[in-house]
Amino acid sequence: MSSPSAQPSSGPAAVAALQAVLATEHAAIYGYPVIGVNLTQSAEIEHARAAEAAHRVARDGLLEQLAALGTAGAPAAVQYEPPKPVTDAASAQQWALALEQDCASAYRNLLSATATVIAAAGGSVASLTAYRSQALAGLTAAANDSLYWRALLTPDAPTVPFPGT
Amino acid sequence: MPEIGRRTLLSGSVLLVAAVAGAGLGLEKSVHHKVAVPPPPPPSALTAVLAQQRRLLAGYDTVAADQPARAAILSALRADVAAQSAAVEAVLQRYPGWRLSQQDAPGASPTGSASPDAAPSASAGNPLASLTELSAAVRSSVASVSQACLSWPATEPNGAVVVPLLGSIAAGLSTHLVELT
Repeated sequence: MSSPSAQPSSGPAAVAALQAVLATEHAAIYGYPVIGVNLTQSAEIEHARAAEAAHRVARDGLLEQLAALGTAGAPAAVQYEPPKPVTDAASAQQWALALEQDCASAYRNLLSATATVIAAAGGSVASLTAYRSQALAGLTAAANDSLYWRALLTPDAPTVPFPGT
Repeated sequence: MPEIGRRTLLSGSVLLVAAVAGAGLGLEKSVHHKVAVPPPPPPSALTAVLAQQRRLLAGYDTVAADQPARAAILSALRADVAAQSAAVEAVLQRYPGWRLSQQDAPGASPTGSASPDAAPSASAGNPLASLTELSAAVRSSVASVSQACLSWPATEPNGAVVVPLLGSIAAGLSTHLVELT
């Protein structure tokens, strides 16, 4: 979930995709503290804390990136609703999985944008590669966090073939 | 010797020019019809990914037999790779050069779905006989699929499909590494 240090020249075309990624990072940052207090195993709580910290880093990077592109990052919503009420460890794990899947989807969409709108806007090969690296790193991180939570929920099928879809 | 009138000479010349031009066009047309230009081959990055995945599939089959305690997880990972392999094959169908090669390949199915031994041999590598070798091959695949994703040309017509697909496959394989180690 890193962000490129250099701002690609085709940046304006990427704003929508970056804002969509930011929205999922906001949701994860909101959700993980709620998830954490409903978990019971110390290893899971520690993983939730680490994941929240990583999402904060990603969010801050995205805000800086968008600011450098002349756009303010969209603020977080007041509240985010889990798919189901979080009342115990299992429902907390399910929300964590849903949040990570949303992040994976947003990063995959950023990857798609590098082959469509960002590519069409021009820019150097280096700038395109920077966006793709950012998207691929975010997608991979979200896929691995999804794996962690899915392994707790469905141990015999902890993986999916196409994270982000 | 009879004298040829100007009008006769002129109309004769016009007919001659028309005949030569017509013959020329006809010749060109027939040449165009007769010379078949083969379509370009599919991108080697994609065929390499497919070859690696077929090697992984064979590796899972071999390793699973020696790892009964891990049969469930190995089966799940194999199913992922099979789905990824099918998706790459589906994308390859967009390339006429790939379709042509599948028609020419011995044993190719009517749908163009090639059997595992019809995999491109350039990057097939040695068979995977142990969990360690399988893990190493998955790690190698993560690196090469990621690189293919990052370096896919911006102007390639199928990029909108291929780039996110390769990204998802790379991310998916990276989760396999966690399970295998």
